[in-house]
Amino acid sequence: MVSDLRWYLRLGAVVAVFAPGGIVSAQSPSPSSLPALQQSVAQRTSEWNTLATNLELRIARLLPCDPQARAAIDEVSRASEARSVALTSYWTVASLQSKTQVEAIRGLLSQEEERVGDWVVDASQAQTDVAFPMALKTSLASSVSQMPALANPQKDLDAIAEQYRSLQKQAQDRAAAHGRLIDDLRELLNTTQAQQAAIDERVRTVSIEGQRWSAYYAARQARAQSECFLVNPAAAAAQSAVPRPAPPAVPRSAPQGKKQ
Amino acid sequence: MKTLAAASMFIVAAFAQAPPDASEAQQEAHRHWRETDPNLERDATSAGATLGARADKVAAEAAKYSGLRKDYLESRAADARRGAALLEPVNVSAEALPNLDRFLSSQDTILKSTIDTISRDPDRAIQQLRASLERERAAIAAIGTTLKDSQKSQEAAVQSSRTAEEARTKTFEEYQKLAAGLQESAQLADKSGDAWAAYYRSLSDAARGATAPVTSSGPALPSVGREPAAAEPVKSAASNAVAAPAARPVPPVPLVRYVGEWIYPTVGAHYYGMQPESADLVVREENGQASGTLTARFKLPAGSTDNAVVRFDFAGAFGGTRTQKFAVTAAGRTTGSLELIPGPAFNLLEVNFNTADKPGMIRKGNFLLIKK
Repeated sequence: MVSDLRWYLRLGAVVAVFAPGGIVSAQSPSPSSLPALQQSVAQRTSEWNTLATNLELRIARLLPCDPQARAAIDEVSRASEARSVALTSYWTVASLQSKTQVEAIRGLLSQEEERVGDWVVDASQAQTDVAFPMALKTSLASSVSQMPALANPQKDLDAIAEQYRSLQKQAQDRAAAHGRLIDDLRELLNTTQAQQAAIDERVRTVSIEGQRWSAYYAARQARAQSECFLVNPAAAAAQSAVPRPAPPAVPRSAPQGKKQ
Repeated sequence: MKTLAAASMFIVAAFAQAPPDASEAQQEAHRHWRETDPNLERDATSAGATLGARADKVAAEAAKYSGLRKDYLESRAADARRGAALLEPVNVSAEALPNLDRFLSSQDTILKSTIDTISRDPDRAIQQLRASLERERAAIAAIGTTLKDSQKSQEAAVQSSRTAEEARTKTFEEYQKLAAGLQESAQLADKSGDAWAAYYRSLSDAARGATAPVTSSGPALPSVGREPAAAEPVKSAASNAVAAPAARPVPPVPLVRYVGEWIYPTVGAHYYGMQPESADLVVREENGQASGTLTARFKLPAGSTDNAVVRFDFAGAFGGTRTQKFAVTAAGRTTGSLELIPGPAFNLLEVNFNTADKPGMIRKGNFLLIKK
């Protein structure tokens, strides 16, 4: 339970630290951008992999009560936590960005659905536009016989009507394209919501995986304590009473001359 | 929460769009245009010179509608571009998974073997160790299950991200197409605005032609609102060049109908007398005083040895009449007069000059210019 609580507190901290970064990262590359966070995950995973793979080999060369054994387990445990934090950061930022996208798409869809009527009005206006020069042409038609010079403006009206027919065609195409856009937005909303759910699930499994590894290293530390107790109960009691020594920052070679 | 609020505000701001009554405004402008002078075309044969002013009014309404239509289409294009910009990719990729399967498997084997070895030892400390080993083994088993779930969830997230990205790209392209189409329509609406202006000019020209044909065949140029003052002698025109009086007369039409840069059109040109090849007129105004330069080249009759180019400056005060008359000057002395008469449309200006220049120069010219 305590372990779980620690995990949730850590997750909360990660969310608080990276939430603004999620928005910022949408505008410019930053340390909390997804690519940067992914690089951090790769680095932490590699560091932890190396330490975890060599742990038993390092401990095997130490006496059961050697404080370096506990420090080595602590070091790997911390590397595991660092990797989990990096993973949680990455997926939390992805989740925030995805949420922002879901909201944006929802807003766009709502806006476009409201505009369906506008495109109908637009197409109707385009139709009116075509009809008007034709009506004027009809008005002029009877006068052309009296005044041949009116043939010129009549030709102008033909050209205008032709332009408006193009505009009308564009308006009709637009109305159809808008229908497709709404369908696309609906599909995009569905897929983005599915992505959001998958990312949230990933955040949850990353959290659980972190907890499991923490529990494993706690159990491994407990086993080391039991082994020490078998060999030297007094030393084991003393070890459990004092704070654990800080491990070295980088993996070091096993001390010479100390064999189990 | 702050982040979500900020993101929501960002989204709301991004959805800012054209006023919802834009369509109504267009319809209203179109109605107004139709109703401004519904008999204009019908009266084309009878209205004569007065049709120009009527056509100007209707042309202004047509321009207003075309402008609104263009603005509306452009604002919708901008909305579509904003919509596209809101669709940002959220590309998640598979992260490196721990390569610890063999480690976990071997640890499990070792733990199991050790537990089996010490399981029957009654020593309390040994049993405590056994319990520790059991707990460690259980932790390893839990990790094994979790790693499988973790891998599945990772694959699902990556796959769903790929699917969402495909849908995003499709929608993004649809928005861009819509924006491009709207922009194209806006440009065409703008062109149709110009076409309407040309139509009303053409209509007005045709109507004036009914009473006073204005063609290259040589009859007198139209004189819409033209005053008889055109016949004033050169001397009288020169007196117009003095400083404006305290109560400055104001022309009955806006100064913009005279001021600016004007050129002789290559198509649909109108002139009387000598036919110009080209003409450039610049008219400036400062404190009611006009000044400017006319440069023109004329087509000379066969065998003529005259200078085909006319270039002179002119200046004077704007008067209170539609026809403005200014003194033409050359080498600091008044040599003639120039009249500027607003044409049948807002962008047309009639020029009529008369100079007493030396022999071998063109002394008279009358033609219609279009605003540059």
